[in-house]
Amino acid sequence: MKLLIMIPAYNEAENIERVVENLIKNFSQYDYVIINDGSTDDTRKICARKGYNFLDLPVNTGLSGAIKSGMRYANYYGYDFVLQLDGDGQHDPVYIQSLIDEMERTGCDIVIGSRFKTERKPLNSRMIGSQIITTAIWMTTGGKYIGDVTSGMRLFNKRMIKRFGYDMHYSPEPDTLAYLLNSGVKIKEVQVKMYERTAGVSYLDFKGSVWYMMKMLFSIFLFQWFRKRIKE
Amino acid sequence: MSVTLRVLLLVAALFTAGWILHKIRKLKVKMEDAIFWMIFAAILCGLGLFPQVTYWMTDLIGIMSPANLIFLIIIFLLMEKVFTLSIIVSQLEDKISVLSAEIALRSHAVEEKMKICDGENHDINNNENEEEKDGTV
Repeated sequence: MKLLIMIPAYNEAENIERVVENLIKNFSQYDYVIINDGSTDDTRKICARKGYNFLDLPVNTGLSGAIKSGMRYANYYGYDFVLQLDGDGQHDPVYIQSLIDEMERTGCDIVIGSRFKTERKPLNSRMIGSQIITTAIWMTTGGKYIGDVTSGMRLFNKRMIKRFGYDMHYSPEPDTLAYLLNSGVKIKEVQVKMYERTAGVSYLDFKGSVWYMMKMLFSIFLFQWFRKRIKE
Repeated sequence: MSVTLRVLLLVAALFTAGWILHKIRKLKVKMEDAIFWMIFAAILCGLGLFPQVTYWMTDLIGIMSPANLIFLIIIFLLMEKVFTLSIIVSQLEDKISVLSAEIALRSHAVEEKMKICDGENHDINNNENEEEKDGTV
């Protein structure tokens, strides 16, 4: 089995070196690729100087564009599994093995590294948004529960690699999870611990968050019923 | 407000919603871009179903005919769309020029590298030939 660690990075100059050095030193059994999503800081320079394996997108395409590139890379080089790992060092690669174990044990298509599988969500504005989406998914999928809907640590199998790389509507966002659950794709969660980001800022401001919530709710409650379901 | 106008509004709302949902199904439009048209359809639908709202607003603003207000609302909504579209087109054009510049730069770099490699190969071959010549002489 071939596993690819995909690291989408947008302006992660302060973090990328630490994240990748850790992978190279302690997790050399996995291949990795950095997707530099048109960063305007030194992300590209650092990757080139250090000789990291990276795809350099010339313009910023957003997270879903970066994921699409990574999935196509994985498909091109014939990987069986893709693990998405954030470039800001929030995710600990130690948990990769437990995600793989869960996929092999249950035969599911996506495993999410979740902060809230067994632990409770803290109460802040960000987590209220997360809980609204969790509830929306629960309501539209007949009671299926996904605790950490926005987690950026996910393991995909070959079937999902093809779909995420080549279908317009497959964004790496929670609305896709709702749609996939309704089209018979199995999604599991594994409890992981995540670190607070140590440098850089998150990309969602208030206006961004409102727009994000609107996109998710429209998609989950309305648009997903009009999308084609792939039956296999 | 005439019944004809109300029916027209409802038909337009249904058509807009149906058409954009069809486009989503055919993978022709991103879902986030369809949100505007769904809201647009909802507003048309609301105007068609509840003329009292239009009457109330015409009184408030002081426009003579409710029909005019409806046209005004639709024009404003469409203007907003044209405005944002125009901005997006500008950004896309800029992105394309950056993209082509980057592709040109990178293919240039690759070709330069190949030239250097070719040059080195030539030198090696020439040297070998010269040595052979030297040997034969």
